[in-house]
Amino acid sequence: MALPGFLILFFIMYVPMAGLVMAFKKFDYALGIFGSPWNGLENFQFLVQSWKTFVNMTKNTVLYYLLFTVVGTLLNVTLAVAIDQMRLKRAAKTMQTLMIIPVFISYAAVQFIVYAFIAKDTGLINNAFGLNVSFYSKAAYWPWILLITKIWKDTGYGSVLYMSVLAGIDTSLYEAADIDGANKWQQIRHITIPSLIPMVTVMLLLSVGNVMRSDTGLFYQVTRNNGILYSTTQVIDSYVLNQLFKSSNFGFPAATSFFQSVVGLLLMLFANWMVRKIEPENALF
Amino acid sequence: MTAMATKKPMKVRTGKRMNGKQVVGQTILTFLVLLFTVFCFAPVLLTFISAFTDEMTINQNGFSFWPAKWSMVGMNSVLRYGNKLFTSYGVTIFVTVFGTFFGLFVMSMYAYSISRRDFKLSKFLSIFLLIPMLFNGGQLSGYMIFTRYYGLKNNLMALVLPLCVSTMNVIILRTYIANSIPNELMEAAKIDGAGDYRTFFQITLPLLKPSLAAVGFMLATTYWNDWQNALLYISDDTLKPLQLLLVNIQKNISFLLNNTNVPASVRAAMGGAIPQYSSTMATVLVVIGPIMVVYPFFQKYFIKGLTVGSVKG
Repeated sequence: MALPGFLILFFIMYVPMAGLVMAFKKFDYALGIFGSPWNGLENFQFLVQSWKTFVNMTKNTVLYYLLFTVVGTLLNVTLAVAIDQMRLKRAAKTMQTLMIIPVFISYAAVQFIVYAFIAKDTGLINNAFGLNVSFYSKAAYWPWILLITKIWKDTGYGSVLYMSVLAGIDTSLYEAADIDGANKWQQIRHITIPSLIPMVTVMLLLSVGNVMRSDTGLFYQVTRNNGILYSTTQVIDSYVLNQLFKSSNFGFPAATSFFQSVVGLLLMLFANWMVRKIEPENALF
Repeated sequence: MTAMATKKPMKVRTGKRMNGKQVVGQTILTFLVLLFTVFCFAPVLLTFISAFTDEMTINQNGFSFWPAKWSMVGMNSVLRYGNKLFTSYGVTIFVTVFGTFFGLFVMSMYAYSISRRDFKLSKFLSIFLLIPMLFNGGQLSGYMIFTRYYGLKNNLMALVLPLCVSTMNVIILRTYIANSIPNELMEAAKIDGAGDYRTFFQITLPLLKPSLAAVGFMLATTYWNDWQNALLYISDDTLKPLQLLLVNIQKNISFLLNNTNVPASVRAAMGGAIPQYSSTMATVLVVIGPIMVVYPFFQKYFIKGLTVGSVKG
């Protein structure tokens, strides 16, 4: 019964893993990945030649990952606890419904909505505050724009997972705390937060393997793939996507992809090892 | 829309009376959550409003929540895409519906297999499922394999297959089978002589519904919103999904912005494709609309059906 799933995983996920050998080949589309001749570490020399580009996009990838993960997790948990604490249950439900909506809008559509806010002449922000800022030509603004966009899109839905944990907390714990005279803050600190920790760990662990991968749409669509902004917006995934359309020499992208996959794997193994040392219960494997 | 509903005072449904301090606390809390709701929903609202705003008004005064003049021109110009829009809708709907049902079917069978403790391969299959989460080939290698070896360029299967099985979704389904479907039921079926297939179809699958609804809706959304695979694999006009229409509109805008000396004849040749603010927003609305309409019906399954359990086998 598992056979169809097995075959799909094999052909869709596993075969491309083997395709990573491309990093060590002089790729020729006609010969295919496996037929192209080997060229040792030659592709990795491009990596040295284009050192600046490589460092910039790696730095961006990692920093955005950290920024999004830290801010995202904090907000998801805070929002879940906040909604859970609300006594107006119907209002909480309605607000949650509205908050989740952005997650269902593709980045191809989101970029037009972002544009409506930050366009130079017609943008809402410039008009509302009487400014004339050209957001699309200054890289320094973009970490903020991307962070806000990301929070807007993912927080509502991100909190759902934590709410499912909160829904499972035994209410007698709170009642007991009430009788013992614990106030709301103490209850949150000693009952609510600790019960969320395992889920937070699992989610963080699952995301560590993706440190080197990004929400491509955010960086490719929302920035309108604008070259002027690359210093703060180019990540490995958006770079590789660009090269697929522009380039015919895949040496550098292949080396970068290889680097991306291997570093992701190492980080994942490292993170799991750390968790296992501290709290074996929460480790992934 | 339902935005108005949040402003109505709601009855407090709780047995205990709140003291003064708690009332203040609840008011502040509710206000903050409301503020965040406005932050989340306002951009969506702006999309609606812009789609019905007069083009001249946007050009002169910019985007606004209270436009000076309303208009149906944007909406009408979307309808002028006619066949193109119709085809794209068809493609997107086919990929979404087929992909979702196919994916759910394949994934729930996989989840069922690894949830059977007595199945010898279940350990191996769990690990086989987890590895792609830790390590994968990336876009470049995937693209080459798909086009060069599988011949999936301009084939709708290139949109269906990459998304249909995901580790996370199988884990969610498996967790639901393990936690919410009594094992005794499945054991009893076996004792009564039902084979694995019969047990799966007649007992597990019907009981799995809440989880299937939640996962299915998320999967459908992923299909509906997928622009990246479309951008990579689809160039044929008759196979372009909706998201690719949006990407192309944006490309036309960039083209016109970056080439100020585009001759008038070229601009004319691009015809209706020269993007205008209101019609662009109307297109966005047409693309995201169906999900907004369907979503509230599935929301109730989210918390119940999306619990991720221990990933360990």
